[in-house]
Amino acid sequence: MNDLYVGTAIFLLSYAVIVTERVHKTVVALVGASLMLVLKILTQNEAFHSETYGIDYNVIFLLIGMMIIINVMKETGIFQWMAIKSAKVAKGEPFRLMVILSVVTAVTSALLDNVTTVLLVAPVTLLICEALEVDAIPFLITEAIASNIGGTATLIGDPPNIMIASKADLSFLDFIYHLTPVVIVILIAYLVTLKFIFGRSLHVSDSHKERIMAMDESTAITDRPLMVKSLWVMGLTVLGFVFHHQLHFQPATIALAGAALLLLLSRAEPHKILEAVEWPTLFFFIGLFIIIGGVVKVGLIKIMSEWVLSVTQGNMFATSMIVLWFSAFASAIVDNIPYVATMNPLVIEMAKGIWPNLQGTDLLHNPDLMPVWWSLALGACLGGNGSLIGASANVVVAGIAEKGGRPITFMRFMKYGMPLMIESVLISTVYIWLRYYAF
Amino acid sequence: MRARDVMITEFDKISPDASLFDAAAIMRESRKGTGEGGIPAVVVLDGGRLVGIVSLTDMLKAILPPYLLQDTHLAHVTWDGLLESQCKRVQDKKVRDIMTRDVVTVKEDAVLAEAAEHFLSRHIHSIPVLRGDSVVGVLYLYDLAKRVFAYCQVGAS
Repeated sequence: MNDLYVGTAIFLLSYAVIVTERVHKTVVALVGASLMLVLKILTQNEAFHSETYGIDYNVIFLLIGMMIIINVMKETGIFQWMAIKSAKVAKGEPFRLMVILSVVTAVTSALLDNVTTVLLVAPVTLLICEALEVDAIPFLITEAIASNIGGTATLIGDPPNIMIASKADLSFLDFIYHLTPVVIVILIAYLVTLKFIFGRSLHVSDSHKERIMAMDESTAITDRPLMVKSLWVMGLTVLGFVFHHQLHFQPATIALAGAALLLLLSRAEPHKILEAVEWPTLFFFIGLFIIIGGVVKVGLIKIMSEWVLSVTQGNMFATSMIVLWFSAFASAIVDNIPYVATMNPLVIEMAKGIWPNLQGTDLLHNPDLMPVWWSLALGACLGGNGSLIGASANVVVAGIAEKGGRPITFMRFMKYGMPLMIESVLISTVYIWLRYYAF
Repeated sequence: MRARDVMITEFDKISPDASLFDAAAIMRESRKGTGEGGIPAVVVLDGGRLVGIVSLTDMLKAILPPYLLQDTHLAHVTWDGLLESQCKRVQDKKVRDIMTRDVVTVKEDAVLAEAAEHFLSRHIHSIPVLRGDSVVGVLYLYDLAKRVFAYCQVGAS
């Protein structure tokens, strides 16, 4: 009983400090994790080696592998090439450009992490908007939103999906099969909505369009042999993800193998590439996993799941809907990574409460439970669009805009982000109902 | 030879509240007619106290669009007239917004090797020279290099 109070206190305090942003979230997570260990709520052995309570290395190494691949790839200039090519395909027509850039960002975000995608797309967007002499802010906001939508589509697109896939033992193709269709619908609805918002308000003179047409996108590519190699490795890696389940590999194995192959082929200086891996993000995950492991062990998550069950009375459609909408609004306000880290074991405890006789994948992949996982993924990923602080991609875009002297205010983002988030979650609601409950 | 022997005492100064354009005007006139050169830098004094320095690099960094610094692949696809058009964007900028605050200084009796080390390790071209807390001159890389070259001639003692 004592452990329950201590573990709960560490958990609540850590999350509260993370929300205030007074101390860097990685530091908070590591302090919380250390407390769990020092106060013997969790043993080191459990934290490092237990599948139930410990660090999820599948998530950590999948992230590391993809970060390495991206770090090599972004040196080649291919993303800048794509953006400039997009502008030329759009012939400098601003709304067409907005649509093409949104689609490019969404597709890239489905394969790479969202923050990296916008970090690559935002500066070149500023350049293109400068050339066209058109306000860059609508373009930057629509790209951030497109990146969050696109990231929802695949297992590797957004950290919440990586975490859910690992905990629920879902494969890359599971995500393609269950999430990609609805994300495509959401993306199309999003583009149609953009037409209503921006379709008539963006104008550019012909002489400025010529500036775009005069750009030589091939000069953006600084290392063509490296680009060819990294495209091959990226293609192979994606292929590996597609078949990882049949081949009985975890996704992290695929990502690490891809990263190793690219490091070997590129002859890139490992010191430089590995230094650019986002260690603070990875240690944030490590700390969170230990904190969550602690509260799972002391039984807090079980108590929370019993409370959720008492509300939903075991009605799985109601559970899916609550998870979807609650996740969306929660992720708009707080970081969706700690949120999903908490929700994963909660969903599992809840399932154990409903089906006490089931175990392993029989439990995790129970047909009645599957829509709850998809609702969690959709809510947590799409919710990030609700506010400027809802997703890391939004924060990064705002930072780039501010440096460029064009700050994006909290309210200006919300004006577009919140209605678009609600639109996407409404579409998800209809999808979940139609696909899993209506027939 | 010490810093005081190589520094120039008629150095350019400006208030932190002056505009970027004022700093540019000072730089245009800097060392004109002296027959001397070097990359200009303006010492920023707030009521006589050293608060910063504006170098030509600081000016360029303020004028160049930030995204070009963030993404090194983009410089190739810019167009003629981009840099010129940026001046409108920065016309309201004050010296305090663009100056380097962490100023490298030397004491007036510092030996030249100390200054040379600062020039190289900090990638700067001018160093304010202090007597106590007040700036008494500016040591230019250009002037220091001229002295060094003088020693590198055949027959120099």
